[in-house]
Amino acid sequence: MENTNNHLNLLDFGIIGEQLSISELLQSSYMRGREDFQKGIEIDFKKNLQSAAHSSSLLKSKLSEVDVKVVDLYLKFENFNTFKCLVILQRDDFYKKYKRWKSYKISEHINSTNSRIDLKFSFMSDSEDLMIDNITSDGFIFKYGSEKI
Amino acid sequence: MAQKKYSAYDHASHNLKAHNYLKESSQFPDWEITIAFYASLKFFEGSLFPETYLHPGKEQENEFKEFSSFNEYKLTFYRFCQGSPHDIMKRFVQFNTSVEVWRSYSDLYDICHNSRYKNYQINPLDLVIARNSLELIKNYCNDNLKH
Repeated sequence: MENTNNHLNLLDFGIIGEQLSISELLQSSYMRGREDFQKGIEIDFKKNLQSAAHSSSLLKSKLSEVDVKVVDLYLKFENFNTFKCLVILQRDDFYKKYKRWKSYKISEHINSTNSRIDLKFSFMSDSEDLMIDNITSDGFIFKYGSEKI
Repeated sequence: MAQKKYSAYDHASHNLKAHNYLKESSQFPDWEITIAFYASLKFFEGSLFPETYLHPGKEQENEFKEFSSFNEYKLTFYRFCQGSPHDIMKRFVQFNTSVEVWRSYSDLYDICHNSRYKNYQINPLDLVIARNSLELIKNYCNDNLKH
């Protein structure tokens, strides 16, 4: 019995060559489409990540201009276009309210001018008790100044 | 006997008492900070509604909406924005209170949430920040009490 799935009803078009069923055609197109789609997504995600890294570096240099020292920066993604940067300030700078609040203001400005991603900054003081394991296990897998990937 | 109706403001006052108790004891600085943060959440929730505020997700368009409660604000947030429950309160505070309150809330939020990155070893100056932030937030909420 003829497989009715092969009746594609394409008006003036018919299949030449191998007679593939609609499910086989779908599988082939889906696989190719998925690869293209995944490539596109990967490129976009990489750009988002680069943008988050760039904005975080920008914050470091802007804070340096106003005499606030950033000891370290850690970056994580929360979803495709939302990122979080943990900013560790030198202890004396963090505990001076005007420096801390100025840092907030600059960080908000940097985030508001980035139309590509949402980048939230969170601040803390440098400390001898700092637990890098706790930071990385919370998803902050990118560290400023570490080996390039 | 009828159950007492929940009041976020009463909850905030309850948390404030717990905060003051911990402050007096000076034995639980990590919990003092945590309870200060949760007291501030409840002060916002229990004091500043009902009121008309900027519509979450439409702040740039300067669109306002009336909210009978913080729960209604949350529902609107989920329809128009993405984020965690903490993101909702942050957005509310940022766009609908004063700069000082927003900065104080950011102080409290970061001190509370980032203490785990230093194994809850609380610097006495962290306590000062938490206490000052809670005091400022409490005063703002009491000065703007809506009911």
